[in-house]
Amino acid sequence: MSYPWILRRTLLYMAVTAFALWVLVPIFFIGISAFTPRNEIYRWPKPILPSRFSLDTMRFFLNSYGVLRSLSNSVWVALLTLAFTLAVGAPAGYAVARFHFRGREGFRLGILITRMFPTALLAVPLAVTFIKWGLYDTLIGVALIHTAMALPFAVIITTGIFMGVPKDLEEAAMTLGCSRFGAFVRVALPLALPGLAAAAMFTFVISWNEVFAATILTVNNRTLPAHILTTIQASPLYFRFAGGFFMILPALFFMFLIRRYLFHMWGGATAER
Amino acid sequence: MAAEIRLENVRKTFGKVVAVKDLNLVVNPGEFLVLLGPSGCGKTTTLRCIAGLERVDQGRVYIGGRDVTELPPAKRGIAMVFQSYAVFPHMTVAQNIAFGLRMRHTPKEEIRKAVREVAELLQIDELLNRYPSQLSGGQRQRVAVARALVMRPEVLLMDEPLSNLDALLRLQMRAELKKLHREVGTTTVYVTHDQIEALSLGDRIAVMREGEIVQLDTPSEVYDKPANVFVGGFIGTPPMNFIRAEVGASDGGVYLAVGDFTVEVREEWRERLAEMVGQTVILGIRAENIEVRPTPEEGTLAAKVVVSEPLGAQQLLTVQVGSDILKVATSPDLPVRPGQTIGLVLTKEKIRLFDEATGEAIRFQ
Repeated sequence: MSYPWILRRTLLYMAVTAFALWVLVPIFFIGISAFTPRNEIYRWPKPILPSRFSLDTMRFFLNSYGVLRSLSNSVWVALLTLAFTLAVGAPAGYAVARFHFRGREGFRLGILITRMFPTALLAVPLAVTFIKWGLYDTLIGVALIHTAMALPFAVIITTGIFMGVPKDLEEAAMTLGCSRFGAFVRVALPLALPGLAAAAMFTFVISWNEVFAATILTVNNRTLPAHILTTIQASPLYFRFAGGFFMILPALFFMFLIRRYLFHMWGGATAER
Repeated sequence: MAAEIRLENVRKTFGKVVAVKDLNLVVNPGEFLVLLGPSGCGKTTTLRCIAGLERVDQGRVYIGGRDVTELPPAKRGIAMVFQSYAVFPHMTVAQNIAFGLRMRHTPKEEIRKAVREVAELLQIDELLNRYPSQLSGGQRQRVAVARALVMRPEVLLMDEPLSNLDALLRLQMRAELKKLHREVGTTTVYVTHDQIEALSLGDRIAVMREGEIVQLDTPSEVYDKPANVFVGGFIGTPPMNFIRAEVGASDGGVYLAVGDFTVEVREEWRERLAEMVGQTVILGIRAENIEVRPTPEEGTLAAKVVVSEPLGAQQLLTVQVGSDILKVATSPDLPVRPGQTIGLVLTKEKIRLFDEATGEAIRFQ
């Protein structure tokens, strides 16, 4: 344990600590404030921990006008997005992982390029098109846009997952009486399931957090982030904290569930668990 | 239930690479045929064409007289053992073995019985409730074989099934596979790059090179009478020795000249060789068919010992004759030192001659 080694370690830990604080401190304060009694929020100097734990703020937030409805909208949009994304993304990922078709590399790159267009640029033409198609201000419309956003990631993640399932296993299933599709369903799919679940949650969170397109493409059927964004300017501070905390929850939950897979996903998961 | 396999002009290309070149092959019912060759010779592709995992570009594949060229693997009556074993990690050993029968909708009771029987045959009946991750490599391989055998296939295909096992286990499984084949009697095609495996297992060996079968014969014929320099050099440890020799003639008849030394030839060859006087040929002889004399005497080929390797049952000498390097197998008791000059006697009956230009064996009636 030489001197430079200790120095390097110290610097590393300092950097890690700084980065962790940068992420955790806001989450901490938002979380704490969401459970602080309303009158304490404005107090200065602010205590690190509230004097008592209170569900008051959260209750107020959930009971405010439009919150429950937009919450239900958000859940529906996220579930629709999930369904669309997996229905298209998983087969695409499988195809990229298994078949050597012409333009495969181009496809893998090209799918990322779709993320290069800023939503702001597409907003007006999209709104016009959606009005024409009767999709404006509908949950399906928002879900379609969210699908377009989540799809590139879904394809890339599922490609990694299916690459981790050895081709031999499917071929073995085929020699044992399965059709190509049967081999996929009985062997590749069950093995890919944990990874696919992670991709699904990722998709869910992308949709859950998306605010810009949702705000532009809806008027009455707002999703939760869109609702909060449009009402936040006129809301009291505790409403903002409660809303913020509520929005963070699924992301936190998701991170805890998939942290194990995040390491595997990009390096190609191993099939033998 | 052993079927004949017949390949007619089978061709398979990957892009511009011709992996299998218009291959013709008949595997007799119940036969154990080994496809042997260096990596990239097309042996695995040939096997996969029989299995239906690759579509052939041209030609037909028949199993049991039935044209299966357009059929998927599931409908060909085959079972396959993969190099990686390909045991399903999310199923127990019992579920793995039962998989194929379940696909066939065999009644549950029958499946249970069949799984038990085949597990006993392969001595894995204690492991039926385990998952593959709890098994050793050798055990997984047994599961893979059991999973194939339980199907009672007309044809059993094996793709380098032993190559992932350690040396001792490989030796043991080799003997066991041979015994298994004798008991089950299924037509078997076995792919390997290990010539010892091929010699020990095969009823016949098809030696492949660059997508073609160079020689198809019994192990002893392939070993003793290689069809060309490639086969001689590929099969046997050490590989066959090759020396340049010139066909010469004198009053006594035809002989082969290696430098100043003359090698007598067999009676039957003389007539054919007489037409080749003056030409250079390649003389092939195996290490164990060369006798060693401690000193170069009259009628022996003088050679300088370069290296001596004691290998237990025998001693392997690397010797130099002119510019050629030869391997000679002798008794381990023979005292030789590197640098020493010894005399070699080539066993006349075991000499094989090859055309210098093509490397093909010269045919004598």
